[in-house]
Amino acid sequence: MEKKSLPEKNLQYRLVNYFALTILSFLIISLLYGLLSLKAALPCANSISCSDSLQLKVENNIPGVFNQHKIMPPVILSEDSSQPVVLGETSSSAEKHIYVNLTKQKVYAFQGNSLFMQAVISSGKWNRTPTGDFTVWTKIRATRMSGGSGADYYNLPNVPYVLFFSNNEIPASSGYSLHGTYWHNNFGHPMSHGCVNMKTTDAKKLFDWADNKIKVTIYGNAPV
Amino acid sequence: MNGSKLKLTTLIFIMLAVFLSFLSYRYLTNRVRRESAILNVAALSVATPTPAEIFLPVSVDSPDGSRTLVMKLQKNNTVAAYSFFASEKSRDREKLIAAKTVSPSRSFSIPDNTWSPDNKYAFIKESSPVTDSYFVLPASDSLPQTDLLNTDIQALFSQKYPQYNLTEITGWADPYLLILNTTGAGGERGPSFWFDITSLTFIQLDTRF
Repeated sequence: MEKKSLPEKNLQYRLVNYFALTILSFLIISLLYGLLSLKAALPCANSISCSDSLQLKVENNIPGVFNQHKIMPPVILSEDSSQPVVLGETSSSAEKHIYVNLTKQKVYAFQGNSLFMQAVISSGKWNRTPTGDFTVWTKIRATRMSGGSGADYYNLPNVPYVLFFSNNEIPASSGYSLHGTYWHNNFGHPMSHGCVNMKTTDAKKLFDWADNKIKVTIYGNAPV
Repeated sequence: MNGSKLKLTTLIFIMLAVFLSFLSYRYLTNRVRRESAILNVAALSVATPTPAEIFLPVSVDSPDGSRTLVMKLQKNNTVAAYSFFASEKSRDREKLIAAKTVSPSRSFSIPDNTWSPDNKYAFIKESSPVTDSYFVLPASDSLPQTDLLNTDIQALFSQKYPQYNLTEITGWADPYLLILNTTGAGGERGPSFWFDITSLTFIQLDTRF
């Protein structure tokens, strides 16, 4: 049997190394791509503000943009930005719960079996509103919400009375919430980018009533 | 002619004159009475207008609660008179922004999403057994002068898109765009449109509302 020369062995060794390195690189790239794809597939109610800020932000007299039109947001006074006294408190220890019926485009607020309020909403039109059981992770008097691109671009300061909710599948960073709405008036019909839009008067009533960490259940199918 | 005969003749003339005057007086007074009686009968024969029935006002608040559109109706068997008032919660006063008089077979209503998001305009619906019409009411001072109030969106749409029927205006996509849903000639679901109140033009959409 003929023995291979030293240069031949080196060449073979290098080829094996190159091959292993190529396979390894391919695996790493695939893994990174998969992770990035997974992150991109996570739903987000407002694509820009989800990564930008989900915190209290009061910006008076700064116009917003919606449907390529300039929109003036409501003015929010400083004394109005503090956490409200929770209304609707009773001696009842029954749990408060918010239900959103996508089929009927309505929200219901219950304390135990007692209905506190019901109102029309607008659920997701351009992005689906997630269904399931959620918990409100923060209440914010107002914040900026922005997202979309091109003709669909929107940038809205002073979105009022925001109840951000999340669960194990929909993380807080996805920015889903119930909130007041000043840029459209088409309640009773899907009209949002995934959030639950409410009339500002209804949103205030719900916001003032809701406890921190209140449960939210969203169910049904929005009209198409 | 002696003196006594002259006296007698004068007396007869006087009595005749008094008698004729009395007859003339009776004739004239009877004629006036008859004429006034005829006039009264004629007046009674004119159709007596039915008293207008006043309905309770209907109102819809803006989504932020700052403004209210109020519709008042007075109606009898010949006409229905609608008046639309806009009021501000902070000022607590109503201002007439539109009045429309129609036959009793037609009626106006205020849709739930009547107010534009900036509270400057409101749209109303006119219903009849045949078709529904929609009008936009300028509800704020210092708005540009347009013929919006008299623009029947249904009629305008039918002229522009005769192949579709406007079935519903659901509300406002933003402060200047109304959302219209349609059906096709066969009753199938048609495309949705925006109606731009600043240019009185329609924009056909890919998305259905």
